[in-house]
Amino acid sequence: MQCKIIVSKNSSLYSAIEEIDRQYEVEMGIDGYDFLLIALSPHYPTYDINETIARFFDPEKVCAFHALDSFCNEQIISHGITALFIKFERKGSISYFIQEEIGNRQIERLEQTADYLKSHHDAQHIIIGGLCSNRFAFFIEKLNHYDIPVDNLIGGISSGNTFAEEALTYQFHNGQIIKDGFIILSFHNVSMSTEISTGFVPIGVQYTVTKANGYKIFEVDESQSFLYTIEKLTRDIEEFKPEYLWYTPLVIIKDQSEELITLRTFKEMGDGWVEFYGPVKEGQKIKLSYGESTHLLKADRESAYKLAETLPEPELLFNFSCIARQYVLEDHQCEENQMYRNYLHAPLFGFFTFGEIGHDEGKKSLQFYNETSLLIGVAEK
Amino acid sequence: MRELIKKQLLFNLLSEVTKRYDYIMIQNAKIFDEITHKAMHDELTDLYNRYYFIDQLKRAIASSRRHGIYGAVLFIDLDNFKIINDTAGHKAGDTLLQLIAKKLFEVLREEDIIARFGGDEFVILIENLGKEQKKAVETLKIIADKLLESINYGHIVNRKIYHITASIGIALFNNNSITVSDILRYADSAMYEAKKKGKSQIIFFNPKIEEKLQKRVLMETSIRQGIEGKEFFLVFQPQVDFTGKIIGAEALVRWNNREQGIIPPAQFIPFAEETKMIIKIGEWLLHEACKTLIRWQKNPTTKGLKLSINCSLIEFMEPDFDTKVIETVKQHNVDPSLLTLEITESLLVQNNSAVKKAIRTLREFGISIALDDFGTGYSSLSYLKNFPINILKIDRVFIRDIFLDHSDQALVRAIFSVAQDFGIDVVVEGVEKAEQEMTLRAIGGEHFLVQGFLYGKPMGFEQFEHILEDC
Repeated sequence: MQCKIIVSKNSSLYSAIEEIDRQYEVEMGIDGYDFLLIALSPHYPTYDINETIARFFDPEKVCAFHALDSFCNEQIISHGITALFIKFERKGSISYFIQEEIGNRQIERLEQTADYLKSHHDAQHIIIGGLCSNRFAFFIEKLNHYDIPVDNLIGGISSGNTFAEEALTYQFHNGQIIKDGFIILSFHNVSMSTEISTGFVPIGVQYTVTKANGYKIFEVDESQSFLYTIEKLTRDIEEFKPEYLWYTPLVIIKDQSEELITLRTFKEMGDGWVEFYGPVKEGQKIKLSYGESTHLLKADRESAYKLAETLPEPELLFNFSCIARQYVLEDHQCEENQMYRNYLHAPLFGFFTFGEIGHDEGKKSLQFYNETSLLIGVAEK
Repeated sequence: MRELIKKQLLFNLLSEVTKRYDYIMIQNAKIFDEITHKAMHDELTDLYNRYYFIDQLKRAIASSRRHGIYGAVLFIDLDNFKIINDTAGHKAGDTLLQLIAKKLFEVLREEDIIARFGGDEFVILIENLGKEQKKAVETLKIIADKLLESINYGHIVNRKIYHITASIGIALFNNNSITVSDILRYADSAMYEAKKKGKSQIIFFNPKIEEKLQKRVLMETSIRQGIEGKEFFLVFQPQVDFTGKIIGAEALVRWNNREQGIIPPAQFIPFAEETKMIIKIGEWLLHEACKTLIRWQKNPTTKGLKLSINCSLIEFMEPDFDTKVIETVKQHNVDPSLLTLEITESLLVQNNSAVKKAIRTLREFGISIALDDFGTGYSSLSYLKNFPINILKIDRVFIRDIFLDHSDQALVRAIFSVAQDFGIDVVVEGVEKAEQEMTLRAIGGEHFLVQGFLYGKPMGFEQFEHILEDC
């Protein structure tokens, strides 16, 4: 499998795609491609994207998605386009599964998705979804009721800003704009290995969520306001901003074993509630945690080391890293990808996400994550 | 900023842990230890940090209130530490802080808490000083003396020995309703009082210090309001040549306070320097001086007149002082050769390379630099060699009896001679009598300017212009 990543920071969509096409043809010298994955900044005109791509590339072979900051090896690309070209050399191939409007006839869509994943259990899937008005995270968790294989599915939520009341976290394929759904890229005849890196250390008291709704926690331990706990955590901090609590994400753990189920990034506080960037449910055991760039990079190094053991010679790396993690990494944002590349020596593509999708520690269920870095190694069989 | 937020978050998080220790289940003990330590300690010295100290002080005050036993906070600030940082570099300064921290730590008992609040400030919490104030004070004096002794020690950094002193302010607390911020403020103001008394002093807080502090704060507010409310104004004292022609003036600041009326400069300038409000006054003065020069340039009677203004040491020590002055002069489009900044020897005693650079930059730009009150301070002739000063102002003390006193005559003659050799202009201050003027002419001929009541007292703008018209 040959993989090349090309970047354009041209502010015009047409010129940027044209530049990528030119670079691909002239500089990279790849004899054709089987698949092109494009991460593009949401500042490009949404409704021109499919048409512009089709002018230069075969739209059936292209999938694009919104990303505020994407990765080209060690570089972080803002306000630009990052394009990954894949050319299979042996038996490798790729197919797609698209699901739209996941808020309507949801059971039917869940069943269709589960059927697809079961029937393609031998493929390795990368899923890229949109925020879908916060429905995507619930959709992912609901898939667990359908007994799907979970260790071969991994991905992230596109990242984009809200423009004219539209959260620009869309995907694009073959003329289609997927606004309220997701796309699954199924890699056939490839080996894929994944590692989930956190780096946050759970600290302090364990609480049981006793009143929650959607992304909000109201009460813990029967009668205690969780808002009060967060207020204590933020005491003596002048000019408080919600992002400050991205250093202390919530961890959802298994009761006795302290095994991590997932993390939740703090969003905001309201009248008696605390809201996160992901679902929280009554009965869940939670703790606060703490991490700085050094802790996160240490965890990244361990992930890279573990992945190198399971897949010693990857031909392509993906990193789906949370946007809140980007904040915590501060001036060390590029070091995460540097770390991965230093250990694994393969082209790296990815982006800072609005949430990550992957299996839990025991590989028993699919989880929606915040503040993690999902490292994926791919090699053609 | 982010570092402070992270430390506060972690500290708050860990405070919860320590309060409910039986619930703790730590996944990774090693990382936990590491971040616990980081949250509570100062990275440079490994002493406790501000957050931990404040938390412990809260507890100590509550405990003292319950049991009526005295406790105290000692606020320590190293004397003139900035000079070490400026001359030996920050790395050497940091090493020195580490050595001092270690010495302070060794003096204290295990139960005492010492923290670094930042920079060269150390704070110590001492508890269990008994129920009698007198005994508590005696014990604290002994401890404070030992602390001073441990600081005033030949610390070796990079093969150089540094002797450093400190000022200590002490505030006691027992079963009164004092708060953490009160006690820290008291200890800080006592330390400030100790600094004012000279080096290596120990001062216990008392209400008079608070009174003084409040007065200082009040003065600071008044000065600020004074600048905003245009209560400051300028008076001009003429400077004349040997023919009696006015060739310029010294602009002096006066304050007409809305409530107290005219406040003499001797009352507000020291406060302004202490509170650094002198910087604001200086900025205002420079703008006013530039406006005056522009106005003078437009009037044929006043065109070409020079103007001198005083600059304090505090202003000169500000980073980018020279740049700001040049920007202001450019902003008003003033000919820099018409402006003189008067400085005192105290500025040159520092022999600070930044000051030297600032003087040089201002001179290169065309602004004149006058050394004020020459002859009363150190009067080192090496200043004339090392700093590009182009005007000397001979102090009035040598002029008062010059027509009678031969030694004054000899001194002034010598100054004239040295100035001439260095190509430096001379302004003689405090000329009030015709006999003084005659004697000066006999000594120095025609090559100097004079300033004093004989030629005019400091006067308002209109009066000054009126005199010029009459000439």
